Amino acid sequence: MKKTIISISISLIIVFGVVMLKNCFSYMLPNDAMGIRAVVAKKHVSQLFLGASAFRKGIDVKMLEEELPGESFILTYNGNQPYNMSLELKEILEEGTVVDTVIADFNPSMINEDANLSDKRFLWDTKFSTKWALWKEISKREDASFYMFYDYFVLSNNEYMITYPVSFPLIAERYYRGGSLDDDAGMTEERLLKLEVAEKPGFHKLQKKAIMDMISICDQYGVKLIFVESPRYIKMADDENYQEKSKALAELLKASGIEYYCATDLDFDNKNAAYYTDLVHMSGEGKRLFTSQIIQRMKENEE
Amino acid sequence: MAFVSFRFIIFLSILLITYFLIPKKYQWCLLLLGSYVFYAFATPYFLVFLFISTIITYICGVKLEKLSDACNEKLKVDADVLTKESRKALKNIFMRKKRFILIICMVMNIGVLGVLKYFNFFMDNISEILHLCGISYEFPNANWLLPLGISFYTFITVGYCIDVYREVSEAQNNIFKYALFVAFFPQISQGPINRYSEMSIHLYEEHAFDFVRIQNGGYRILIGVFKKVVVADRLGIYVNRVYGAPIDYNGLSLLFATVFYAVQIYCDFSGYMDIAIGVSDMFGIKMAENFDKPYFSKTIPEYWRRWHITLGAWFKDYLFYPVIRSDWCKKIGKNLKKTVPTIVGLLVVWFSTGLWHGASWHYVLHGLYHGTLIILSFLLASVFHSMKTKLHINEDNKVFHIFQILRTFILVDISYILFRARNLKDAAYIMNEIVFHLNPSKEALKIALLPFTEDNTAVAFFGVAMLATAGVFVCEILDYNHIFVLKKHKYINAVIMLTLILLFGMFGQSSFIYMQY
Repeated sequence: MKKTIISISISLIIVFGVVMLKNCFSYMLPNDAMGIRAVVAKKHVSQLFLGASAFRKGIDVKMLEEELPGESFILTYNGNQPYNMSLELKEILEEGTVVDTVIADFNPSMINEDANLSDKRFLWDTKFSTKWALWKEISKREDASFYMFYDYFVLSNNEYMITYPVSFPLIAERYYRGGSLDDDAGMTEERLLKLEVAEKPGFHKLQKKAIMDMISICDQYGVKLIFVESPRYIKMADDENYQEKSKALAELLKASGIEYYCATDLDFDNKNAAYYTDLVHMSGEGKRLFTSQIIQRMKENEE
Repeated sequence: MAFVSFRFIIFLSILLITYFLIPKKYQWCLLLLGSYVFYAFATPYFLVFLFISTIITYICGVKLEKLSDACNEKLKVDADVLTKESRKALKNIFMRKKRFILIICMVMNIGVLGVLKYFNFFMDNISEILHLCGISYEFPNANWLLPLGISFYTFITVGYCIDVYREVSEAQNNIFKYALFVAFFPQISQGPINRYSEMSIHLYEEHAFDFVRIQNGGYRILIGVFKKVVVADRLGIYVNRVYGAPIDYNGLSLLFATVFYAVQIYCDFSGYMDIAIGVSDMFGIKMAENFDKPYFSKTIPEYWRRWHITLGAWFKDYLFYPVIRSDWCKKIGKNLKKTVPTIVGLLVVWFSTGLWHGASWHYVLHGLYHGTLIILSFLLASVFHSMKTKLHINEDNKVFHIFQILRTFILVDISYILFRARNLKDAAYIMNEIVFHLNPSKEALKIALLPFTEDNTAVAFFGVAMLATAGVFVCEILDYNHIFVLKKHKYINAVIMLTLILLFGMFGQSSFIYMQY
C-alpha cells in the first residue's frame, strides 16, 4: 500500500513540475524562426503581418524583404482570432519591441467565434499572463470543461517539448521571418468546388472588443494599423454568411477610422483555382500574386 | 460507459469498495447488479436484447442438461436390459431432442444478431443482384442501432449452450448466476469470449480483500490505459485522417497509415483486454487471455493463435471441428482428397470470421485473405520444408526468425488495408498507391508526417508516437525473451507509465475499436 501511494505521488509530482516549468518558462527557449518570441527577439519590426494560416501561406516574406523598407515579419497562428491577435500584439509591444506598421488579417471567418485555442503553439510562445488571459475567456464558454483545462495547461505542447532538439530545427527550416517557405501547387477547380463552406453568421462581442483593443493598443504605442483580407476562393467569398461578416467587419473598421483592404479592393482573380490549395489558403502562385498586390498598395499609400 | 473515463473510475471504485464490504455470499449479486448498471449506461433499450439472449440460452442450457441427465439415468437404470444397439438407439433419441433444442436456441440467438447486424447488408446485396438482372428496386434500409457487445455475448451464450450439449460443461441452474456470466461487465463490450467452464470456477466464489491482487489488477489496467491513450489514440488520429480520405494523401502517407493501423488496433484491442482483465482480477475473477504478442508470430497460423485468441478458439471448437467432422464433409474426404474437408472447414471459418467483424464485403475479403494464407501454408508445408532444406536454412537461426516475423507482419498488415478501408474501392486504391506510387523522397516524407496535426508540429507528434510504440514493443521483446522487465521493476514502471499517461494521454479521443463489432 505504502509503495503504491508513493509511486502515485512521485508521478503526480513529476507531472506537476513539468507542467509548471512548461507553462512558466517554455517561451524562453530559443526561437528566431516564427512566433511571438521571434518577433520580440527582433526588437524592431517595420511591417508586422499579424493573422492566421491564410496569411502565413498567402504572403511571400522574401518578396516583402526585397520590396518594402525595413524588416518585415509574419506572425501567424492557425485559426488566429482577433482576440488572440490582440493578446499577441499586447505582449509584443509590452516587451518593448518597436513595430512601425501592423498589417492585420481581415478575417471574417473568425469574428463569430467564441474564445478558442486553435493553435497550441500560442501557449508555447506566450508568457503565463497571456495564457491565463485567454483561458479566462475560454472558461466562460458554455462547453468549457475540466478536460479543456487539462488539455490547455497539462497536455498542450508536451510532444514538442520532449522532442524540441529535433523538432524545432526541422520546423524552423520551413520558415523565414515567420513566413512559410512552402511553394504549394494549386488545386483543380473540380476539387475546390467539392469542398464545403462552413461559415456561421454573427459577430461575437469578444471579437468586436478585441478589434477595438487592437486599435487602442496600436494608438497607445504609435503603431499604424491596417487590415488586409486574404482573398478566398470564389465559392467561399460568395457565401452569404461570409459576405455578411465581411460587411460587418468593414463597417466597424470604417467607423473606427482604420484603413482596410478587402479582397475586392485588390486585383486578385479569386476564380482561378491554380491560386488556391483549398478555399482559404493559397498556392505558391497565388501567394506571389497576392503579396505583389499588397506591396503595391502599401507603396501607393506611402506616396 | 467508456473504460477510460471519470465515470468508469467512480463506478469501479464504488463497486470495488462495496464488493469487499458486503457479506461475501452476496458478492456475485452485487457484480450482477453492477454489470447491468454498466450495460444500461450504453442505453437501457439495449438491455432488452441482453435479457432475451440470457433467458433463451439459460432455458436451453437447463433443458439440455435435463435431457443429458435423463439419458444417463435411463442408461444406468436399464444397463442390464439394454443391448448395444438399443443403447445406441436410446442415445440417438436423446441426441435428436438435444440437437433440436440447441438448433432452436442457436437460430434464435444468432438470428437476432443476424437481423440486427446483417439485415441492411443482406438487403443491399439483394438489391444489387436485382439490379444486375435489370430490376431496379432498392430494399429499404433499417435504421436500428446495434446493441453494445451483441457479437460477443451472443458467442459467449451460444458457446455455453454447445458446451452443455456436449456435456463438457454443467448448466447453471440459477438464472441470476447465469445472467452474471453473460453480462459480466469487464467482458460484455469487447470480450474476451470466455468459456463458462473456466470462468464459473471463480465467478461465484467468495473473495476476501487482497491488496496485492488489487494492486496487480491496477498495474494491468495501467498498462492497458497506456496502450490505449498514449499509443493507439495518438496513431488513430493519423490513420483516421488518411483512411478517411485516401485520395488526398501520397503513397508514403498511405503506407505509414497502414503500418500505424497495425499498431493502433493492437494497442487498442489488447489495451482494452489489459483493462478488462485487470478489472476482473481486482474482483478475484480470472478471465481468458486474448493476446500473446501476436506481432512476434512467425507464421499466419501462429498469428491467429496469438491474436484474439478466444475468438479463434471459439470458431475452431464450435464451427471448424463440427464442419470437418460432419457427415457431408467426411463424404467429401472419402470421395476427394483427405485435405479437402480441412480446406472446406477453413473457408467456412474464415468467411464467418470476416463476416463477424462487419457487414461488408471488405471484412469478408479480409477473413478469406487470412483463410487463403492458412490454407496455402497447410498445403505447401512440405514444399517450404524442402526449400529450406535445399537452401540450407537453419530454422533455429535468429536471423531466419526475424525474417519470418517481418514476413508475417507484412502479410498481416496487407490484410489491414482491407480491414480498415471504408470499402473495396478505397482498399484497391490504397494498395495501388503503396505498391506503384510510393515515390519516397525527403519532401514526400515531410508531407507524409503532416496528417498527425496537419501542421509542422506533426514532427513532434510523430516522434512521441514512435517512442511510445517502441516502448510497448521493447517490453514485449524483453518479455518474449523471458526478461521480465515489467514484473521485476513494477513500481518504477508504474511511475513511468502513469506519468506518460498524464502528460501524453489522448483523453476523450475515441471509443475502443472492437466495440463496434
